[in-house]
Amino acid sequence: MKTPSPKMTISRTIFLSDDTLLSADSGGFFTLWAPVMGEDGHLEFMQSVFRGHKVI
Amino acid sequence: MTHIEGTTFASGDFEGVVKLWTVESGNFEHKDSIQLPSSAGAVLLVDGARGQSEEVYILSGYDQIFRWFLPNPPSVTQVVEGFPKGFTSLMTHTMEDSFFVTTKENTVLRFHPLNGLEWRSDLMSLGMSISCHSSGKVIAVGCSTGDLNILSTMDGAHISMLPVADSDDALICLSYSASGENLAIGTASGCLYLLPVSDDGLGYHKLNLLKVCYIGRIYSHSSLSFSWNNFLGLFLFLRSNTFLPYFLVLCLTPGHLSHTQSSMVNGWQLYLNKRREQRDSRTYSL
Repeated sequence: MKTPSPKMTISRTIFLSDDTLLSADSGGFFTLWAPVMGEDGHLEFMQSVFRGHKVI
Repeated sequence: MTHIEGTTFASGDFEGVVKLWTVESGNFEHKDSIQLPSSAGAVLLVDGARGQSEEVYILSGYDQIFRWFLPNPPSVTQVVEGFPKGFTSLMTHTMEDSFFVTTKENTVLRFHPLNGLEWRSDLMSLGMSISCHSSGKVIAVGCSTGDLNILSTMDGAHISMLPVADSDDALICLSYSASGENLAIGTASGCLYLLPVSDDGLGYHKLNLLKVCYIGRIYSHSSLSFSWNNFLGLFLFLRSNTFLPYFLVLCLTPGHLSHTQSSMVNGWQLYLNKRREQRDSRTYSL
């Protein structure tokens, strides 16, 4: 799975209507964070990364 | 980046380009884009209108504000020309076609995109952050002196001023939850305040204070943002100056506040459940 480089910064995040969190980073990637509640009750996120827009 | 509605959002970049996107089932589609004039500089902030129209307001690096009207035919116009420069934050009205800005002259201004300035309200200190309550009746303005100002959206009248943080701790980030029942406030020293809100934005009760000590001092108001979600609660994002982004998920449950912490970007999968509670018995009523 692609993850943003630690040298990149991430812009503001927004929640879409399906409760998925969307972030964008200065490297030009959009990341979708789908919330999943684990068996132990801890919140986790399934991530998907897409090339999008080099945001500030 | 700003949410517009449903699965539509907009993003802006250093080159003055704003793009409109939709995302369905994980697939992104680039719908449209605009290029601001070269005199505008970079895109500092985009905010999707919450009123009657589908539009995006854009604050540029050289203190220009643009309105991108999305319905066909789309158009981009510069608004707020001829006013003193030095805008520090921008927020659209939750119910009407207007927007609010704070300025370096310690003022809050309300503009209509076509009719221009609607009112001006003076502050005792520099306004650094702004949020409009879902009722549309009030806005909250966070100031450099740690004070929270509640103003009427109708005429800018001061409803109340709450001393939330220390006088040297600026309120750099504000966000009402979608329901309007909570207000999250982030300060420059790394503190998070969560205030239950009642009476359509007129009542505030300082219930929980969460000290996010490991963040350290935050030097830029653009480094911190909140996102509210009905399922997850409050999502706090910090963009640090040392290029080590953190994020926190705050799950709001009755009577206490807990958060799930992740570490740096490359440690997304690492979640540490921690609970830090620090009660503050002070209660404010308007």
